[in-house]
Amino acid sequence: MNDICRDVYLRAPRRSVRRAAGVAMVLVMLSIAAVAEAHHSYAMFDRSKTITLDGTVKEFQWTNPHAWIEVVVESSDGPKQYSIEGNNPRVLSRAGWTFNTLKPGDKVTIVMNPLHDGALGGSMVSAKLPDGRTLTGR
Amino acid sequence: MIARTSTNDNARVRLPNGRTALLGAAAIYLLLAVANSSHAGTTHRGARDISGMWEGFPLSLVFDATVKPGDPQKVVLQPEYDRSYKASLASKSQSEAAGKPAADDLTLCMPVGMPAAMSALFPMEIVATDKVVYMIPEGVDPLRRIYLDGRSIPALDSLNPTFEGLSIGRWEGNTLVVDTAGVKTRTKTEGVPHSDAMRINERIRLLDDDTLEDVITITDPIVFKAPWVITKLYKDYNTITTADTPAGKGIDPGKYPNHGEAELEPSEFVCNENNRNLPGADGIVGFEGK
Repeated sequence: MNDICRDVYLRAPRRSVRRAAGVAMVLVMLSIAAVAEAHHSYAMFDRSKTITLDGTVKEFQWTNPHAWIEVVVESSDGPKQYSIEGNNPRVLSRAGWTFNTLKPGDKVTIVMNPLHDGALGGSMVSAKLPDGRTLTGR
Repeated sequence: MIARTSTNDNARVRLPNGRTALLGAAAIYLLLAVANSSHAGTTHRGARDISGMWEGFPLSLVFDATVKPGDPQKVVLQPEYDRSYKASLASKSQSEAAGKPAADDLTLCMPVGMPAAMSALFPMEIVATDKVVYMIPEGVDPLRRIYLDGRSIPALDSLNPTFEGLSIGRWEGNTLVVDTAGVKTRTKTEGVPHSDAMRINERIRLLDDDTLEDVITITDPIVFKAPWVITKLYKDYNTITTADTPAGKGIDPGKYPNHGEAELEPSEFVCNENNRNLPGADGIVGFEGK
């Protein structure tokens, strides 16, 4: 992939370079989707499972090395608080997130890969916001 | 465009023969137009202007993008170091497969050091001056300075070990050649050990306006059997648009104008602001050390 992309960049005119590079970049990115989770190993999450949570935002932490959403989900056992890890603010910004995208009390639907150890939390795949937008979480 | 207009105007004014003047102007116009079109988009930068925001390309979790995660690096180590390296690789692979990853320096928000600091997995800003080239990685590593003032690397016993080492550079044509020594032995690029005698040679050059290359040759007379060579490529961070990233996949730049085609600024990244991935007593990474 390395050599292919390099050739594309070197040989093609600029406009098509960008287009071709964009396509190449998407392919590269998709092939290494976990790359964005760079600060730590992704092995703590069970990527074969996705869990969807409908809950209420308790806290939105727009911080490094990761942004976090603390979300409370009602269940038959009573309310449960989940810690949802997103990517870092820079990466999330590129997906449309801002520091004030969420506030306490917001209703959200979050899709996550859960922790292997069974703790209430996981890695955010996406979040559906109160305004109807669905943004990628990593 | 400015050149074309002024050339035409000047030709009409200064030449006495109107027809000759028009033909001359047309010829110059054509020459400039051809030159302009072939020139467009190829050299906005000076050949040594490596300043800017760069991101590793292809973006890879592994420093050498040609190595798959978990595979051994393309380095030949002396037998005793090879044994310990392979053992640590196997142990890491085992803990990852069990869903119990061990903490590394990056997870602890510690610098990864040279040469891993050149990964630009998080973008890296370069500010090139005549005397010093500053490399400012977003993420965990501190500012790296490459001195171009002609100094030399001192003897090992007077070289203060640091994460980034001491880097001395010089221009050879349009290639910035950098030698680095004095890297702390606690740093292990992709788990590969090194001694305090490790030396790093880099040949950094622009391949085109948007692409920077760093050919990194690492030698270590104690730990390595042969030089370890890695070629890194970087892309201008602003040529990678939001829609090209996994995070931005599918979003409409028009709907989010500040996060579409807008110029991207360097980010502040204070890793210890809220590191909730600290390892527990067993060294395993989870949430809040659990």
